[in-house]
Amino acid sequence: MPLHGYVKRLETPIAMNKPNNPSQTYDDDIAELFDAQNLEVPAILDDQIRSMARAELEQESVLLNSRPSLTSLYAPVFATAAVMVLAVALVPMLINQSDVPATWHAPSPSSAIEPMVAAPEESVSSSDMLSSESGGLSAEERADVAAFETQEQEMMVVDADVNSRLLEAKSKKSAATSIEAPVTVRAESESDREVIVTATKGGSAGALEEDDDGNAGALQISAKQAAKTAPSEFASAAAAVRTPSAVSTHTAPNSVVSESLSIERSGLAIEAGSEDGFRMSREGWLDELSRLFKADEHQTFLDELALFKKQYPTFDLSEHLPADALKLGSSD
Amino acid sequence: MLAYANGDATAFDQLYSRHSQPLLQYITNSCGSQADAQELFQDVWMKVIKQRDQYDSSAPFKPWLFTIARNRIIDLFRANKRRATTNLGFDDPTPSAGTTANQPLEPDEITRIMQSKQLLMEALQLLTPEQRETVLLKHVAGFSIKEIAKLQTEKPETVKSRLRYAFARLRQTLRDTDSHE
Repeated sequence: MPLHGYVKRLETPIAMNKPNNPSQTYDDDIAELFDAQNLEVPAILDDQIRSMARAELEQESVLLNSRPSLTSLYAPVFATAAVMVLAVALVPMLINQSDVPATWHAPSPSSAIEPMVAAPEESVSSSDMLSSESGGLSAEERADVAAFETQEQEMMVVDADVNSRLLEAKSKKSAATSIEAPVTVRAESESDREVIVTATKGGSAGALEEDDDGNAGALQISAKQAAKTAPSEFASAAAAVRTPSAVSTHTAPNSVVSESLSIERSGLAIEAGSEDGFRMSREGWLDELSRLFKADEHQTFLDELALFKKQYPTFDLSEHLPADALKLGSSD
Repeated sequence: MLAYANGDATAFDQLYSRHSQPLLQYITNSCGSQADAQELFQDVWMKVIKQRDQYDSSAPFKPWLFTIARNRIIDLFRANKRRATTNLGFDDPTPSAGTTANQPLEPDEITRIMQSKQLLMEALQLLTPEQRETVLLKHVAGFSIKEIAKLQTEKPETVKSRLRYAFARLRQTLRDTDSHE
């Protein structure tokens, strides 16, 4: 009996998962019920979902077609960036042009000057360039270009005038500073030429020296020679100059100093107290020799010429000075 | 699905034709209400349409579709707080049900039950949500035990257990209802 009861209890769990039909699985009856449920999607809902799917695709294609290209989208950004880059690049250049710092030196005067000197001969007028590049300009544009060229020529004339005044100021200042203190006047024109002239105290200097680059001539003018060329009224102004720094800030009632200061304001830098004295580029020196000869300042011309020959013993002056000037120099 | 995401409208028609009926059946039996089911059904397909760019083409479409549906159903239950209140203890590992509870339905029983379309749906509502979901994923969506386990983030043994008790509960309920009628 106990055994029978035990076996009888065991039959129930074994029979739990055993299907009646051996080919059936334990859940085929449930699967049959679900298969017979037959739930269909309403036709309206069917159409609605399909049409929504199509509409979504059409909307996307419309958006894609109407979407601006990346180039046009970022055009303002590119334009702003370009303007900023130009500003960053140009502002320092403009600052350097209008206000050259006292410690600035031209990198390589002789190599830089020669192409610049030759440039006007080789250059083509801007109107020609514009007309050849753009394939023709309107009358109004040509008028603008012509006005621009005229203005440019006037500026060049003014520049030349400033250069000549600078040289006068240089000679006058050298005379003044030779009395009291070494003074360096550095002048830089818009054509990037550098002219530095030094007069040393006591007038002992007179030697020509090469600069660091070995190109530009450095001229140290004898104070006595400078004093000869300086106008008599400059002596009183020079007497007021006590220190090199005083020269750069001095506002003496002297026309020469005020002229120098005005030159400085107009884009030319004057530096006082430089140890290597006034230095002049070779081209500028040749111009000065020509000017001295033409101005009949023969003694100064001869002194300058002697210094120049000492600095450039092998340089051929015949292409740069008139025959009379060369003759005067050789006779001396 | 990838073709539809790339702009092929006919690809969606094919997908819809293949999966719409089992999806509607799954949702309807989960909700117990045809009105709610149709609204959810539409929501699920709208989500499919909107999220077509997020579809991972390396995975099959059906699990993705039913995962969306499952999440929407869970959201609905949370919103309505309509959880099954009648739990007759079928999650108990030692059910006290009678011996007939685990016996498969006889063909004549099945025929009688099929005459009432609502009977199966009402019996399903008496299951726990987890049991109901497991049964529907197995018999309506057609997933394997492993696939269901992955969807529910459960072990396969848990899925088998849920199925076993769900079937016993369904059979008992359906038999009781059939005998009363």
